[in-house]
Amino acid sequence: MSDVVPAVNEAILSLRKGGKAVIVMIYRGDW
Amino acid sequence: MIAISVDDAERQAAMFRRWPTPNVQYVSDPGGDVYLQALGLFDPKERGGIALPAMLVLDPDGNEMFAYRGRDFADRIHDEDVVAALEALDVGPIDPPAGGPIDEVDIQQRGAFQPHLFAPYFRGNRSAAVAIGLRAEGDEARSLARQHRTMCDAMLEAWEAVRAR
Repeated sequence: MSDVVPAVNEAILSLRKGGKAVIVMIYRGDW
Repeated sequence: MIAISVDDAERQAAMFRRWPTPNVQYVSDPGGDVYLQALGLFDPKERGGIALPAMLVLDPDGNEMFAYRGRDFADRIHDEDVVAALEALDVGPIDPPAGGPIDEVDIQQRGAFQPHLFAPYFRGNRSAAVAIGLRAEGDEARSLARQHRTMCDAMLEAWEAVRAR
């Protein structure tokens, strides 16, 4: 996953500042 | 929290204006080329290609601690399931954003789901699920109809909670 999802990777790295988890919500959009 | 969809950045920005969610980072992936296809969460047949609703919980090492992958555009996780998964990770709740969804926003952008349509949308879905459940033959079909009705009930309950704040 790390090679293809840089935004998620960035969020995971931010966990080192004290977070516990990243929630990735995929929503359908295109209403 | 990261929210990914096929919507372009303008449409996502319009969505954010109507649904203020300061704790969410929106990620635009039109065509699903960058994220959604790689995650196996892209349906090229639906509306020219949109995401399959999903919820992933990743730990600080990037491990997938929880995942719900929708089978189709309307298959969404139930709140209590993801809350239970987060509690198992010792992730507590955060304060919801002040205020709430805003209908009275001057937005010409198509596609920013209007808050006043939320309840009618899920009430209609619920009625359809009930009707299909009555017509369905076989345990699986009835179960799917019941699951969809339960999802709609959860959405409507959450909506009531938002409106009551």
